[in-house]
Amino acid sequence: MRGVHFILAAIVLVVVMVAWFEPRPDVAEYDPAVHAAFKDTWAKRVHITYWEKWGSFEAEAAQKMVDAFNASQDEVFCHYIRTSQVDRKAMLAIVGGQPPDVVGLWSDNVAPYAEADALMPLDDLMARAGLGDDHYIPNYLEMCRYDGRTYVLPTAPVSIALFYNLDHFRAKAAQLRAAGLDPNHPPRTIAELDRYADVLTVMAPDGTPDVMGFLPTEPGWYHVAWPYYFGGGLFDANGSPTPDLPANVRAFEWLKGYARRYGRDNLTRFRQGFGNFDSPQNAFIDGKVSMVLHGVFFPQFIDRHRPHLHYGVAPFPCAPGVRGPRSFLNEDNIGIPRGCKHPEAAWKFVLWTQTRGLEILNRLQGKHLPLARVPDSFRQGHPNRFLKVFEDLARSPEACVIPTSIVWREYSDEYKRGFDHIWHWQVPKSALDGLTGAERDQETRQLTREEIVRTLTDMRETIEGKLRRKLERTEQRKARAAQ
Amino acid sequence: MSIGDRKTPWHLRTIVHLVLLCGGAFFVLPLVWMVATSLKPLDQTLQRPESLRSVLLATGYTATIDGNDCDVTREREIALEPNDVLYIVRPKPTADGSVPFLAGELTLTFGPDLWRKIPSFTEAELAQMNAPVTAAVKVLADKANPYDPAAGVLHLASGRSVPASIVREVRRPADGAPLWLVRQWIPADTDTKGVSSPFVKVDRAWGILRADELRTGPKIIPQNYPVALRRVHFARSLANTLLVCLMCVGGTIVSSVIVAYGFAFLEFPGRNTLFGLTLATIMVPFVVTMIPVYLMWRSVGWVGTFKPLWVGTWLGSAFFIFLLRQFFLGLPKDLLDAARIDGCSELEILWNVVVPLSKPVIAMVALFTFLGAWKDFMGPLIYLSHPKQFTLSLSLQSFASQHGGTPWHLLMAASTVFSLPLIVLFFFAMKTFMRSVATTGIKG
Amino acid sequence: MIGSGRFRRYATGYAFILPWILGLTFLVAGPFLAAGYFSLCEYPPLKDPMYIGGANYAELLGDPSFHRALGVTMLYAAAAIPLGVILAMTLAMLLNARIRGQSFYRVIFYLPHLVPTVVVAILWMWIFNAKAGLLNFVIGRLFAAGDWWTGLFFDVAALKVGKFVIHGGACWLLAAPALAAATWGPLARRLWPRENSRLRQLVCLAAIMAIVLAALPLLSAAAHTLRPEDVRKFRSPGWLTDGDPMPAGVGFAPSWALWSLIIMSMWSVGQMAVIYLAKLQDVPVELYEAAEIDGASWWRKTVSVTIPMISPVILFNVVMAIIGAFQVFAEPYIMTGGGPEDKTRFVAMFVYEQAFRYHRLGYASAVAAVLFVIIIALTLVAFRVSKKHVHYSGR
Repeated sequence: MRGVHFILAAIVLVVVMVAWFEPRPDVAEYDPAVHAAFKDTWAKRVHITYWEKWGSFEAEAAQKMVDAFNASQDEVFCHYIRTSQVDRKAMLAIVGGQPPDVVGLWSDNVAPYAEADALMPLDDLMARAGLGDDHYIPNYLEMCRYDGRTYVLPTAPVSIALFYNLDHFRAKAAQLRAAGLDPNHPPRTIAELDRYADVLTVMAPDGTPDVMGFLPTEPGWYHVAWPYYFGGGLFDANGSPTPDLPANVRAFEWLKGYARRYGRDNLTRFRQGFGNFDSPQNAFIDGKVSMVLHGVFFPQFIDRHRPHLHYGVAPFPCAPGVRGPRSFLNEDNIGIPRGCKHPEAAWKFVLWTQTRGLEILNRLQGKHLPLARVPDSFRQGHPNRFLKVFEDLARSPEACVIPTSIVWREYSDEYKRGFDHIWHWQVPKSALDGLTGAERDQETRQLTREEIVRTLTDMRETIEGKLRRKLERTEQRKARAAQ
Repeated sequence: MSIGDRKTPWHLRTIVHLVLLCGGAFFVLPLVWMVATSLKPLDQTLQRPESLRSVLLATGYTATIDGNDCDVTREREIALEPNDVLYIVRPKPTADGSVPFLAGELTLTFGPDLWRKIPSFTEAELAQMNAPVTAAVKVLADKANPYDPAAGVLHLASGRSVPASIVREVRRPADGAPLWLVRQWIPADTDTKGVSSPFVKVDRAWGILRADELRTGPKIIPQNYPVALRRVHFARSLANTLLVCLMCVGGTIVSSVIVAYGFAFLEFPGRNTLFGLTLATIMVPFVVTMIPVYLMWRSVGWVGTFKPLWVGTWLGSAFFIFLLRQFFLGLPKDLLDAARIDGCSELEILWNVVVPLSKPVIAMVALFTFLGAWKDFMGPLIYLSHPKQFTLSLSLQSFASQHGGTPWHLLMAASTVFSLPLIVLFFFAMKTFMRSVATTGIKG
Repeated sequence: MIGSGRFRRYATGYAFILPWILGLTFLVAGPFLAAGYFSLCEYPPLKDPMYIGGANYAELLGDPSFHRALGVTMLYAAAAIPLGVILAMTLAMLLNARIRGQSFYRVIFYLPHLVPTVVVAILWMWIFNAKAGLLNFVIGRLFAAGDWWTGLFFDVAALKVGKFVIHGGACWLLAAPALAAATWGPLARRLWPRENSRLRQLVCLAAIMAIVLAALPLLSAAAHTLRPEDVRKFRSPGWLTDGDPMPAGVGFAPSWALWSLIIMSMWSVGQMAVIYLAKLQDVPVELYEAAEIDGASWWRKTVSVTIPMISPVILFNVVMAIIGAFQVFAEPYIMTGGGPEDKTRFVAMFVYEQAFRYHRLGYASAVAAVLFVIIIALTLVAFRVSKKHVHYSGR
């Protein structure tokens, strides 16, 4: 062979070798600094990976739970891997054929993952382990189910409530009393909430608020909850989408009232300076917003950034005629991806979390438990002062949950878009020409209501169309498979 | 201006200089801002910059706390009424020398900014936690946990009373100057992980000082870089990125040179049609073939590995094939004919005659391929899912999208390091690059 | 070896282009056809594709979010491409000038192209940050009253004439036409008959600077009178979080968020400029000399000589930019995630989402197919338009 042929052959050989011998990421890396305690049993344990979403102290809490699991037995070793955007990455990994053994997801993800056959159903395993329905608060288990089967199990539950800044309340005690409101108690109805918000809002000379009494778009996570506080909802009993219920329209009118009263652009400018939930510039933590709708995890973040903040927590008020106390529930959960390497070991871990691990995790993360029976040791010394409020809300018969639906991902995206649209929509100037005072207000309200109804009706039609299509395709697929 | 040989008059040259300088500022300023932010501590990145100086350089404060000079951060302004007295007290250790806040205590107080509600654990569990409580701990007595100076007792919110001695009394200054709660700043503060743990180390000095007791100066935090690089798993990501880049560069060069040679010098039926097809494929956007290609790689079982990112380059790249072919056609034919007469095979002609003549162009192809592979984001996003495999693009994006607050200073530090190699490479290759761009150009 | 010489030559030829043939089959043509097939199927990622005919295309026609994504992409292309071409050409012509430090400038302007996409996205996300970002800091200073030179903008905008005069802005405004007249036209010929007299050049420089400095407050005042809502918003814009159209009131105008992305893309024109620069240096000097002999001014020379000579490159860049606009993914994905109310959801992001978020690979393939057709159509239009305007110098 001449020289250049040889070179070419060598190059091709090198390439093939690089391709062939590409190292797969090795899970069971022994790190003496971290794993010294497990040296003896390292080799004989089954090593599993657990992808989870949390950061900062929540991640440490999860790590502590995993450490406790590893220390409690010597057959399985769980490697906890902090993953951002875990639902996207996990789906990619499952589709690509290299999934982790245990994955932490959000309740939004259950239906799409289940429908895509990406998770192992856990019913048989639960039955064999004796983990029955009565182990859980029903709502939290319902969020783990799709089409009658359980695909995930809850880890960290969330319920939401009204957080109110007591310092602000007391500073404005005189004005509150003058308006007939009690500075030592939170608002009990939506109308009261509006009046509290009015008194507590401090405007700067240029029209931008300095402090807002209440801002519905802060933190902006629970937009889907508003209709429930007004007695409406996003699905009916059959799972059909119902975004355009009259109660929902009322909810949106109430929300839009804030944008209109304080000026949408003013509020945008006001919001620009906020940090997110884990930052000292968070609106509530920084004292920029007096009342906010937030979740059971929030007190821990407040404690981290402004421990001397005097605040209280109460159930968020409902609209008149709506039974309370009411909360919207959500959760973090874990599942076992289909095609993972060690499903039995993964199940051992998942089972342990449901019996022992949840206590450790939720105690350290400051949340309540999704379980029906709560041991006293959990409540004693719990870091969350307001644990009882959230627990009562979670167990209340009026607690609301989004049913796991095949179309929820599209629905929630559409809903968010619709919310943004309504919030930013302004009545065209031409429609208000020549009107003043009360007439103008009347016309504005009328046009706003029409726009809200139109947006929600469009939303319903779109989602109904998508739902219909999905069901058709599922039917088609079943029919063809049967042939 | 852009005209021939005649010297441009000085006033027009001045205008050009000015315009280029202003434009250059627009182009360079973001990079300068990136580097400036990467050297600031977290709290100063989150504030609106007050002056041009604070845009570029962070302000550092030093103060003397407990007799020691240390770097401090200003945490909060403390507003005191004229007759208010704040007490900073130190609990008196018990007979066995331990400090009386531990096992079973609901509230552990380590200072005004570190109030923690720690769930009660047993002594053994507490001992495992990294929270050494030393006798040097001091507490700020406040309305919830008041201090009784006459009795020398600190009444805790949990109901217990602990004997304590006064470290310092803080009263409102006569001239009304602001009081700042300052805390010793430790470089690990830039790591948002360290700050917020309930299992935090306690031995950090803090105090309440007047504004004039604080000394200011410029502060640079080079520690942001190691912290950021650790968070981005730099070494591993760099290795992954280099692997992909080098394989891409090798693949593009080898295959494109060979194929371009084939199109330029060899005859076979359908050559021109195929070459036209090559041109056409330049127009096919990535987004059209993205999904089927992904499915193809999945069926081979290569999703989740690096192979989809570089194996394709070993099959030729349309754009560079086109470029190289145009260049080859411009080479003197007689050299090749002479070599053919000598009886060399085509490969040998390629290797011994054509390649040496084409070094600048090949260098340019290598450079551009390296650039493209280094910057590539969508490929790794789709094909790599395990964090250990992430390339630099993906690691950085993963870091930026994490749950929680955005540590801009760390992000900027990681971004600077990610951009640097290309800029350095470019500087080294500039001469070659500029020459070869001029040589090849895009001719019609 | 056995076989006729011609067969051997053909075989060698095919052997050389074999990698390319393989690539074409497996990475281009094959996927192309496969995408066509998938577009006729319903294909969740973990199951098999199921043939459903043209249902995906029918759905596509009626899908408002697809139309929105297409609209966003076209708007972006319509704004970013002309701006980019003009900016790149201007830059190239400036970089071609024979002044000192030219290599330094060329490096500076090429630097942003070397910055990885993820870094560009994160960096500009930081710059556009409404509170602590660089851009709002600069704008805040420009609109702040009190500074000597920045006060100019504020005062003119508020039309406080007294302060305006005191701050000297009026001087420039009055001086500009006087200086301009003194350097161009009959007045100039009377004042200084010798064209390259030092003094005349000095006055010319002063005139150009005065016009530029006077133009800025004038533009500001004009904007404030004609479109006060825009100017008010410009004093502290939300950039990436703002979904309002800019200019306000024009329904189909790009939103502030989209304009932010367009501004960001201007930052990377360095690469286009370098290509133009290379081509500019190829323009034969004789053409310029001939034009000068004919008495052409600088502008005339640019329009009649420079632009036609580099028109092939312009065409190439425009076509590549059109294709590029349909592939913009990383920046909006990282910076806005689709933006306020889908105002920055580009089609590439739409395809990615349909495939990897909604798990509809069939639908995503249908979208990709439609995109391909649109791109081909636009490219053909570009070529048709270019026939009249593009001048090929031939080889």
